[in-house]
Amino acid sequence: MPKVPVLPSDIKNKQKRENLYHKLKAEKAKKKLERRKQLAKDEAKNPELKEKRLRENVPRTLENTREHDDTMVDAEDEEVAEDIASDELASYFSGKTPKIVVTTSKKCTKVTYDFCAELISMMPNAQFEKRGAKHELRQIIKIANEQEFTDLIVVNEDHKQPNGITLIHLPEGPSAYFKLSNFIPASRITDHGAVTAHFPEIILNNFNTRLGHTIGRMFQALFPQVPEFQGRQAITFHNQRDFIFVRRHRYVFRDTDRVGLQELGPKFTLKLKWLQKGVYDRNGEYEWLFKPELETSRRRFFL
Amino acid sequence: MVVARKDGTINLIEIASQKTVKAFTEQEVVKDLVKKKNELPADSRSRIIGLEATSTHLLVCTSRGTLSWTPWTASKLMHLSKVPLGHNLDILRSHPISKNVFAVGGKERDLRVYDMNKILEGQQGASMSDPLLPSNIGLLYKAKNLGHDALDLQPKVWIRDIQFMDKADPTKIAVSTQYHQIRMYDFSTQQRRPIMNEEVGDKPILRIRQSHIKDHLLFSDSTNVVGVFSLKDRKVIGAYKGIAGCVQDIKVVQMPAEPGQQGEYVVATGSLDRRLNLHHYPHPEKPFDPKPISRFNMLQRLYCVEVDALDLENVDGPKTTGQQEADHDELWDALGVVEPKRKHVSKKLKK
Repeated sequence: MPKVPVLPSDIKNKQKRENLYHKLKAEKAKKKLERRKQLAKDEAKNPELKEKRLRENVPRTLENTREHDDTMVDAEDEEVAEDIASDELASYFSGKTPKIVVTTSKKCTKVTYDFCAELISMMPNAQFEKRGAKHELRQIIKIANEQEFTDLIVVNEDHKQPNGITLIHLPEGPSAYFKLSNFIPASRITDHGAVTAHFPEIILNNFNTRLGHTIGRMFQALFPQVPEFQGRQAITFHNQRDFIFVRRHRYVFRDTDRVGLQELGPKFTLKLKWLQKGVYDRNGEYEWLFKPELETSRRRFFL
Repeated sequence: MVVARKDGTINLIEIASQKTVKAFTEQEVVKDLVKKKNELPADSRSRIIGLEATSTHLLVCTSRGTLSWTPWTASKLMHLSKVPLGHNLDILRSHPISKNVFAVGGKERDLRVYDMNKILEGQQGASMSDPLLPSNIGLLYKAKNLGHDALDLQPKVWIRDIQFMDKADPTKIAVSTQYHQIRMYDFSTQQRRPIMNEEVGDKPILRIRQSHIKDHLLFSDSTNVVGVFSLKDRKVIGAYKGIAGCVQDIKVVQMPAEPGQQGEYVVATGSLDRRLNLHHYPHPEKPFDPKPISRFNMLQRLYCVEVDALDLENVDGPKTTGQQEADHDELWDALGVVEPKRKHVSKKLKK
């Protein structure tokens, strides 16, 4: 009669049950290890097998099964290129130096001031202005326009944590509101590097749709057009699944193949909540507004 | 088709060849665009807020109240002097049939209905020494504001869109305001106050549109809400889903149908998120369906949607799946903004 394998769930004695379970688990791990060793040997002999495996065994992720978005920017489309080139941010791309003012919501606490300090260190030519009790946003915008600022950033605080950033491009430019999360200041990053005053290089990843392009350009317009490569500092805005991860690194090329990266500055995550055409107005016209009804599928992203 | 742009040019375009047959320039808009932002903030710049066309003339109105009535044969816009329409206007709309009657409204400028013929007569009679034509020249009806509210304050007035509700009769008018109200006026009676005033949502209502059902008004606000409002029930029947940006224009179209069948009605919305969305018009018997039928990426921010009803082709074959193949057969005149300096406001030329 063939032996029926005993399952741990059949054994009432806890110690014996545990022993059997651990034994089965160890056997399973051993089998897996042997299979992988054999596979490695075969592939070492026959590199084609490895290529075949890598080609065929592509795991399915949310990014590569993303719902088709017809607003993906086609680099060759002239109409789109013209539309992008002539939007409100065009003045930056024809040479205007960015000049940024950072302020907060009213009555904020130390954490927010620390965040603002980090923000200012990220952007050359940025300054902080304390938000007074009687300063209304409309007045702030008017005064910033008079002083010829190009961008206004308002850091919003709730429950003693910064939770949002309103980025307003100034002369008449688009306004965007981002939800801010996972802010970790430089001091709490282990082995972080020291920041220098060199103009950073900007890396914008995965801003593929038309909306993403607009947001990407807004980020780009915060920084000087020509970076100082001597400083080897790079700020990355990496968009994945509509979350924008902001990181700052110093890089060094050890040789032609290897790069060393040291994390410098703050790290935080942004998520776009709305984009308004024109300077922020409570009753202004929204170019894009996030509403939960737009989330029709897990594979749908907007940036 | 007539198109007015944000930079002040007005073009008459032949649809088939897409050539500009005629072009005018509204100098006031051009001058304001050139002025620096410190001298003139963006929202008080002059812009074209009314564009109406008949077979012989073109009516153009700017937000400062500069009215022009130009025959198509002219080379430049012929402004009517000293017509006191008022400043800060937001919309001028003519009655669809009796084009000589038009209504204006704007910020702190309540609804007024004028007759073009009377204004033209007044122009001929006006002498050079008159600084201003009498302020009621051509004025047919003038709306009165609602009474003071609980705090004894005058309700604020800011009209964003106007619709003449009755094709035969220019006395019934619907108005939408910045303060999220929809109002109905009936000037055939003695009452100058609105016969209906409803608060809808909490954002400015930018567009209202009539549909084939007299009781319904389609409205859109400054966020991504587009809904159908019932005038009889005085409430919103339903709101459409799937729109991400502010909708700037709504049109109801009857889709071409098999002979013997009623064509389905479809709502087309053009919005700032560069999309043209199609939704089902609420069917009287069926429950409200908020889901979109389809959407088209138009690559530019849309400000106006016009439908060329003459060119609707017949649908081939039976309507198989839920996909509306009919939509792809239609000819949409959806124009959008190319640069932020340009704005298309297009109206079909009525013959």
